[in-house]
Amino acid sequence: MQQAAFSRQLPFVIAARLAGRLYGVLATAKEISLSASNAKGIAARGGEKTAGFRPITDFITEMANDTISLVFKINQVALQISTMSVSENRAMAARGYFSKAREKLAGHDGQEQLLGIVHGLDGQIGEFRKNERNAIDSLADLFDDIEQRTRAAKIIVTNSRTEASRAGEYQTYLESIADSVERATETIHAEIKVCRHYLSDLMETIAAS
Amino acid sequence: MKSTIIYEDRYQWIVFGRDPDKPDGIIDTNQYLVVDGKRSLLMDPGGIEIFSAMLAAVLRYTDIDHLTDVFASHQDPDIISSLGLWDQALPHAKLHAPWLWEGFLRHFGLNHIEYNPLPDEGQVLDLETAELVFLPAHYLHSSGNFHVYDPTARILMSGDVGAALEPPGAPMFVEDFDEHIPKMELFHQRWMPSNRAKQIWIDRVRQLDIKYMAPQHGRIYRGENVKRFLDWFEQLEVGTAIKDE
Repeated sequence: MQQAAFSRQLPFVIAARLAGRLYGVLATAKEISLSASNAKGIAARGGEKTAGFRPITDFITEMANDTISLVFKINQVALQISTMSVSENRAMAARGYFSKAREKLAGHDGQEQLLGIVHGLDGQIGEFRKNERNAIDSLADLFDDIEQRTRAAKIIVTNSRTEASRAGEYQTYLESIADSVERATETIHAEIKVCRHYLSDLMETIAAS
Repeated sequence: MKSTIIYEDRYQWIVFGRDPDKPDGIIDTNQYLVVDGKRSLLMDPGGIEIFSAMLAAVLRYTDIDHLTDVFASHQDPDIISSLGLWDQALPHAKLHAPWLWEGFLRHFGLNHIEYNPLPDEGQVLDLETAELVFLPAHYLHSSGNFHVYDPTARILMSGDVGAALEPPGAPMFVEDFDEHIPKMELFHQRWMPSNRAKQIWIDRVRQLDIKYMAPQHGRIYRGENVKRFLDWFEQLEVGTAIKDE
């Protein structure tokens, strides 16, 4: 149902919605970063009992920072697509107006004079579409990068629980941090899934235009 | 799009309007063109909705490369919302428009056409033989507003001054001035904001030799009807949306 609703929209609307959706991913990635800071504090206080947790916190921090940076990149590319799509839309509208003027000039020299403008607009439209396709490909790669990190995070959560069970009185704290990272990872995974729907709809809409 | 030549000598003045293909619900507009050899000035070219019809109509009188100058009396959408399309069609043209509106008009899309910001006191434009004056008409109705006066052809393109709201297909010229008053009264009372600006404009225009007064909506005034319009406008109270307490 959601797919069907997306497909009725113009590419620049889909791309802008995708960019908007990313704020959810960004907020969650920031939550992970905060959890990692808390875990670092506990790991430092716990001495030997939490020694195994320290490299895990480093990894979680890195993962959160990478995700934040990827979200910024995705946001930038999504907005570029939206802007290009608006320009394409304007060029197509302009093409329509010039073609209509040409029809009205049947048998008159002016018809030929406008042909160059129509061809120029065709060139612009083709260029916009090529750039949009390239940007969509790079968006797909960036989503793959984020998902790679969420998959790695799942393994880290398992390791965190193992390390937490050896952390004595710090066990409860560390388990709650592992839980929070797990929840955040699941949220990001779910959000990326929705973003991929937008992306595939964007691909279809642009391919069909 | 109907077109009528209103002056023809070394150069031509043409009025375009009464487009039968115009979508319903948008106000009818008059567009003016001066064709002077390899230079042409298109005045208040209109909104996006009439662009195709206008472009086709204009190219029946001049070559696209000879359409060198565009004028916008002010910033309204019915005046110039087609600017982004003219910008594609006339990349080497110059737009003469109030300095006040430059940053606003660029929102319509202006990547190629050069913007000539008209100073408040006005300016003269020389085409090949025609000498046209951009005459100040500030606050009539826009805060930055110009009209175009041609002392040779004795034509004043008067923007929204003299405009009338009429059903589609109205004649191009005022024949019976008294009968025309109801069609323009509300427009002037409501759209024109300042009695002082109105009087300054009337005093300025009374000094000009005018055969045709050509507004952007409604019919063109000829001969004696120009003076009758000025007299009528002078006694009219404008800015009527502001009520005295």
